[in-house]
Amino acid sequence: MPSEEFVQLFSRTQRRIYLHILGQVGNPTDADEILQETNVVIWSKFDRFELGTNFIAWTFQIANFEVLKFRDRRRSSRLVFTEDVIEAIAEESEESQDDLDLRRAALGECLGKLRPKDRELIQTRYAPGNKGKDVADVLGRPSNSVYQSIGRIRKTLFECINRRLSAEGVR
Amino acid sequence: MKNRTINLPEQYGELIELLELQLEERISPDQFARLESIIRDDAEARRLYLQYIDLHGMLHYDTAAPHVSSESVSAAAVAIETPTVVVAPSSNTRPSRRRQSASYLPAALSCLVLAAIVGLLAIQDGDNSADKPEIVESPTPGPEGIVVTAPDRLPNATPEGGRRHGPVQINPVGPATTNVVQTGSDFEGRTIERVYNAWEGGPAPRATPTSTPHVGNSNSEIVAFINRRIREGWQDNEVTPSATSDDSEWLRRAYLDIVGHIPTAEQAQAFLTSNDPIRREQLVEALLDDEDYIRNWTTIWTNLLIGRSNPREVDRPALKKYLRESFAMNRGWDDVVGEFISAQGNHQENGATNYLLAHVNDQALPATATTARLFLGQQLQCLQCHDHPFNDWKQKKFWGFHGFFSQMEVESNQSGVALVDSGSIPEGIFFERRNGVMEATHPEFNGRRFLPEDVNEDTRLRKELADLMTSGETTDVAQAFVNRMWQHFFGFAFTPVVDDMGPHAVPSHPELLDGLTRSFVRSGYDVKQLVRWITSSEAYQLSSQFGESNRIDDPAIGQMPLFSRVYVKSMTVEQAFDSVMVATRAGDALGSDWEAVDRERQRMQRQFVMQWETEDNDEANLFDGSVPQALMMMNSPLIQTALDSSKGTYIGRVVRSDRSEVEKIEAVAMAALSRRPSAGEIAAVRQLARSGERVRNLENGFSSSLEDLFWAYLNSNEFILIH
Repeated sequence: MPSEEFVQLFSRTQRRIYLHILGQVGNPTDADEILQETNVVIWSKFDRFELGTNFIAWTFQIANFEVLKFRDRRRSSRLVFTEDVIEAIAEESEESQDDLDLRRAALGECLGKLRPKDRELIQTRYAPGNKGKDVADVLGRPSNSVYQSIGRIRKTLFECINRRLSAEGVR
Repeated sequence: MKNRTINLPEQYGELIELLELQLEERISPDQFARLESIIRDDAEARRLYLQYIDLHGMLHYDTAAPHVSSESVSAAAVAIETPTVVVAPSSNTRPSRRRQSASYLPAALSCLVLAAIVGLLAIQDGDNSADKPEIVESPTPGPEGIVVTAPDRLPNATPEGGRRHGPVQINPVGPATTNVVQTGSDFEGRTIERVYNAWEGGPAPRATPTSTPHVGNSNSEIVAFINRRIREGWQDNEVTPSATSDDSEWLRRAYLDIVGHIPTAEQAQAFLTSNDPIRREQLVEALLDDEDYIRNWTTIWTNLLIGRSNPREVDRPALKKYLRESFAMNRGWDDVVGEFISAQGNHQENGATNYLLAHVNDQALPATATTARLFLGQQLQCLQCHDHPFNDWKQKKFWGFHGFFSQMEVESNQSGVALVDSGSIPEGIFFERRNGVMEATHPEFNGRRFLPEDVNEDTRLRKELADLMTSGETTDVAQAFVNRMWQHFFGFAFTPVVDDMGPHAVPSHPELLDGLTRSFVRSGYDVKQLVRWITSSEAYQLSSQFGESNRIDDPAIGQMPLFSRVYVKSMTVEQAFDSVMVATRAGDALGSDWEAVDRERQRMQRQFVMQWETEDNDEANLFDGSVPQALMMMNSPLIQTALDSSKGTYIGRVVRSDRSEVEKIEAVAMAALSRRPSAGEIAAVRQLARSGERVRNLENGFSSSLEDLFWAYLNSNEFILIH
């Protein structure tokens, strides 16, 4: 039976693991699938985890392994990174967790600063199951212009986060 | 040092464009290969890639989906996200499923284990890898060398490693060790100025009061205390305060500050012709009793509490109703805050619940951070992950504070959403230190700690917190409110950032802040009383014009404010709209169609929120920003109607009245700017009316010149700024 602490750790770190995986595969759907597989391993091995040690490092290691297994299954696809790149990304991701955490914290505020119209668009884009193309269908706008709008908003958010971090002196 | 805040540098334009294609799944294999080669060769590009895709993932995972499902969702510290395996072991699950159906310990615990087992079986069935769990731990060379690589990347972080070294010596992810040091040194010292922009100039501020300042209890003693402390600052810095503002400048400021809009021409006229020596005090009393006092403060606090856009699951009208009643009854601010912290029940029936409901997402971490910021004047967001480098709020304190919200749950049923304290009290609140080690704490605030043995079924942690926050002769709740009110009336707070009052932010007038805070507490957190004190102070009577003698008193460039003049403020969206309505009586032009007025108000607000909210630095842009905004407002059909003298508008009535030309010009100036027109303005309008094409029809020529004048007044800085 996992301890309460383990359960808390597990639930708190889900998003970080998900994002760590996403960086390596570049696709949310794939990242979801790998996260599930990672979770299965985490739960099956909860008794191997020593409370008080680094949970995130432990789970990242499991996740990294699941990513490589996934990569292996998708060998034939031309849209997956090669192993050396995956490893370089994983390493960068591990190093950047503090920085990324700060960025994640800043995102909410930046979303709040979007123009209402843009916020609506981005919410529609990221509503469960949606892709850029679905948004174009919903709005009845040409998909190219929708892609452009969404890209513009993402860049706005990205720059807003950069500015917030430099304003806070986090370099 | 690595620069981690790249501002979309040009050389990475291609990378971003490729990433955009990738994120929308439109990338071709060739483009993908290009993307890969960019991030393979360039560490900086890799970091940028990761930051960008992390943003994508955050939006995907968190932001866009509702955070309250139809079931009961725990918003507490130990909220559990059910592992995806239980919901959908198939590969095409959407992340939204993760966010559904969280419930609480311990019932959830068995489900989790069950889920894990079920999920494990499901996967193993399809996978045939019965030894799968072993692979990570004891890497044996497998096909394609996969297994070998995984442990290589994390030299110290294998589970066995953790076991061997014990909790203390665990070094997390190898490279991260250096990273921690780097980031730590970043946070230490050097960035303080840049982060908090501490006040510059002036002598070192008088030390934080060690003894309680003697203030006195009567209103006049308190006002005298404020005046004394402010004067000390002038003397210490050898500035001469600005002259006392004339009645029209002061009148307009008092109206905008207290009721949120300018006075009507008639109200201005009445005040300016009064010789009563206590007319300013009388006006403040009248404004405090005005219905628009309630409306103004309701608007201000609604925006602070839940923002201008509507978060999901939040009943904005119910929140406003609660605030309206609170300001109408002049409830003590301690009561109001206490209710926000501890509110329970249906979100329509108990409007106060909507504050926390707006912030229960992400395991209620925003509730913790927002509560600390708004009500305690403490910025805690970063403490989630690390100790504050320069104030005594420690990471543990953050989580201890957070622990008070751990009973809170959101229930959603047919009658709407409700906030309840039905969760059990956790045995410990766990958090992760930056070095990856877990620590536990308990709900704790101001030294009062709730251990498991201190609580029983009847304990309501949020109520306990509300009581702790509002008890004592001086409280952060009172201090944060005083600081915010001071900023509201003077344009600057005592601290550089109004809601960041930690020890690193030395206030400009510590004794004044402390004394005023204590007086506010003694008054029973009487909001109207605080307004009386501030508006009666000598400093509030001053003009916003400054001269050589107090030019250095300029907090807009980071100088410590001395309040030797009243700093110019920009109107808020609401102030601007309501003031235009008051000046033009545009509402009259639309007849009794109040809904139309309201729709217009909403429409214009949306337009403005966009403008104002995208400002990054509203101090610096105060001046530049407001004129285009005003112009935009003037382009609205409503304003066009309001400025048309042929309709039943204010300007129409003035034009058709049998007043003299000069009186008509005066009426227009009074409505827009609450002052008499200057001789130059009168001459200019009359000359304009007689020039060019207009000369042929003197009557119409004058009318349209009057319309132009009104329009010009409403577009002026004098109109759009609070001075």
